[in-house]
Amino acid sequence: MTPLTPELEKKLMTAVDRMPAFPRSVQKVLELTRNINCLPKELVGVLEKDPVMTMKILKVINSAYYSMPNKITSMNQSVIYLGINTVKNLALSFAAVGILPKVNTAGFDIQRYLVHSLTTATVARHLCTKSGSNEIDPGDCYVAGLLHDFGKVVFAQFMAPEFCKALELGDKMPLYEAERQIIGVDHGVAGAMLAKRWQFPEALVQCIRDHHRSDVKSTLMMDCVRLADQICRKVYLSSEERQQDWMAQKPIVDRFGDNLEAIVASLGDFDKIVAEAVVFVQVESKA
Amino acid sequence: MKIRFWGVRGSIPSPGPKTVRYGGNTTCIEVRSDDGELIILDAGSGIFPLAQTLLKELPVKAHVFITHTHWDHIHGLPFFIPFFIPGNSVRIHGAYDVISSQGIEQIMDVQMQYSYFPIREAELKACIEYQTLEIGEVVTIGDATVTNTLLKPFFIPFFIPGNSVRIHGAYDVISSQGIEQIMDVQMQYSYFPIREAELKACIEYQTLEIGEVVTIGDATVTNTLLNHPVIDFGYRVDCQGKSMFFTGDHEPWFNIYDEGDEGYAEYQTMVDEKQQQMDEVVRGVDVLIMDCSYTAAEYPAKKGWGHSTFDYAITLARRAGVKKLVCTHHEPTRSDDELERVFAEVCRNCQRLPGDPEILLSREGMELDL
Repeated sequence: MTPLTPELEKKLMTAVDRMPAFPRSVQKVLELTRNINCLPKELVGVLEKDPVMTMKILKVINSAYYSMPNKITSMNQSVIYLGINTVKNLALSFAAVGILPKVNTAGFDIQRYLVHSLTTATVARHLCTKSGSNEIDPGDCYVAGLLHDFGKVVFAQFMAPEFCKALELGDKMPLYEAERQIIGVDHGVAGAMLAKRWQFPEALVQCIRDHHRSDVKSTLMMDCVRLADQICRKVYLSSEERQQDWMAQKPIVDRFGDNLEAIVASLGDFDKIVAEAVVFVQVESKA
Repeated sequence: MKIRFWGVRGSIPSPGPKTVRYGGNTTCIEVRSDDGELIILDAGSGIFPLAQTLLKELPVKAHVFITHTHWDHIHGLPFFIPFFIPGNSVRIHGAYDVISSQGIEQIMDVQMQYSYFPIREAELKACIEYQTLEIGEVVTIGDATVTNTLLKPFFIPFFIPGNSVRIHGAYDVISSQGIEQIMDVQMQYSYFPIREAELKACIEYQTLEIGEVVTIGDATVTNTLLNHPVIDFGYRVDCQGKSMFFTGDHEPWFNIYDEGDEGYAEYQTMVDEKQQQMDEVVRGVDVLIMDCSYTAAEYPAKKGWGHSTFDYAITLARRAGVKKLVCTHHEPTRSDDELERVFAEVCRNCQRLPGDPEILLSREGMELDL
């Protein structure tokens, strides 16, 4: 695996503090915080659906300053430690950075990215619960799913020309391979670098870094995220032919059986999961 | 260990006939270790009368612990007179602020920008004159010569009536301002230069990590993260087998979900864990000094404001095997009579059990000898 060059690492590190969040969550945060008595649970409900906000809150709570005995991945736990007022002010400061454009100069569809992240998160949590293992918390799988492609937004926002080329090349090969060719590293490595620098739990860092690598030993968390990732790609397969192709695929991990369709069916109402994500992502237009 | 209360009021100093028995100063607690180490918990307006008494024991070596940086816990700090006296040494401990990404020294810097304005205008009794100098100009005064150098705005004689001080300084060609203007500006940012160069007392700042234990002579101070709209540390002081805990401002953690919500049970587990952690730090202390701003009846309207009730404090004190509970952070609008009435009612309702802690109200000037 190619490591990040120091220049690239530096570029990405400085970039993320300036990273805007998603339009819908910025809108919701501003709306909720206008009311001094806004319900904490509503605020948490918004933050935990936005990869940028989640990333930034986790950055604060896991910073060396707090020296938590256990690393924290949950929004709720962050609220307990930081207090809802601090979380509210942090959210406002994130909102003040601005909003990600719907489609940026790299031609990257930010709404589609968000729907994919949200559905992957939800499906990964379901899979974890289904596994019946006490090894990891389903909530951790949710966060891993939400953040697994974080590197893509970073590329899109701060390395637009390179990422644009990678997206073009991505028509002919998997995007992560295109990224490795054009940028030098894939989005997993870039996202993991940030997660590591911010002292996120090691399991989460690994999961973000290696979710496109078949040569590393998988963990339950990674299995959940990789399979959820595969399942959720179904959402954007438009033609019937491609849907057929998808159904013929073998599950990327064998822990949950060898029939992709059966796994999807076992999730309960997959279409509802997708519909909820789509609703969340949609920005209400101002009347 | 000795504990003395110099300020027991919450939010804002509340002097006047109605608060004369319990006192109107905001939070400040003096803790003396058996070897005489001086620990000051919070720097509300109560720190000013404390400072007066310290002038009898110069040089002062003090450790100030800031629970959190809301005004009522720091607004006495600029009036901590030992700052101005050579040979003193003050160490200020406090939390890191995640919103402004600043340690305790930065927070104090900002506070002190605001604070010195009135002092310059009203408090300084010395006669001060300004003279704008040419750059490099040397002034001879009697047998001394003065070359322009860093200003000394908090030169102690400024504070003493009858003194006469003449300030010489350069004209600034960039801002087109004479020395008097430059003084003005410098006063706003006053504490940086004073801390570093001007004040002869040695002032150090220490931003604490969560759970970091500080040893001061024969005493140790342990912090724990509590629940308030800003980062708030509760501090436990242990000294030769005796111990006390002070909450600063604290509200019981509460579930943000309603019963029946999906996240309710999970959140409740975390709330319980956090309370458990606090209980462990408080466990067995001789004295628990606790924010008891509200009665149980008042609390619902104040939920989320960051303060506790008498009932929560009593339950906690019982659970943690505390020997003595001192209720403090009295509501600024509560008169002495009202405070006593409310307290009597709380005591009546809590049905004393054998082994219960002694419960009392904090009062300015009260001393506890452990």
